[in-house]
Amino acid sequence: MEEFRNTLKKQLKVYVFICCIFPSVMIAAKAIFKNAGDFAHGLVLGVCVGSMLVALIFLVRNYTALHDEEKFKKLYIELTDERNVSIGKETMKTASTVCAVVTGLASIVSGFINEAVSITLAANLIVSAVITLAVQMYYKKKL
Amino acid sequence: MKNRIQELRKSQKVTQQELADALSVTRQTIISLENGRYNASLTLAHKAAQFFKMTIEELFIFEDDENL
Repeated sequence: MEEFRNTLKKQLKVYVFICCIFPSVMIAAKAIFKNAGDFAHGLVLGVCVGSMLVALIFLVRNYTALHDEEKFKKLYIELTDERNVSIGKETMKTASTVCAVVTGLASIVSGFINEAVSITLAANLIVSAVITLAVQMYYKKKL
Repeated sequence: MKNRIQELRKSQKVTQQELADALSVTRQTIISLENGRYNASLTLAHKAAQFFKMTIEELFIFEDDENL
């Protein structure tokens, strides 16, 4: 339980950092890349605002849990429940397999329509495979 | 792997929520364990056995292919 409390405290600091730094990132991006198009600025704005909102939600969740024992225990059970953890792992495993197959098929199909899209999708697939191998190597050493 | 959790819980008049709170898991996990849809980890099996004051082998019934 104490370890979980420390994890929540650490996460809280990260969420506060995100909420503080991302407005500066938005302003800096706007100032540095003045000539960039609306799309790029919109993308930065969307990612930053979205991340800040998510961080804010988790910040409130962690803060209330750290100051209320009842909510702390409820959150502890919710996040450490082994069935929930197992569901999360299985979901990620299945979802990543489906994503890889869909991206591969999309890459093949888009090859007949647009070469750039096809190459981008193939590159995405290769990067995903490399990351998967790297993560697998890490866990082979760790476990 | 089968288990006697539901049988023992009912005989001891313990609710699913009470058992879930005691084992620090969600009520849904208890339901899945009782239905045989989910197999407990060693840690959870140990906690459940401690709760019912018995050994893991007495609480969980291992199938033939799960034994040596």
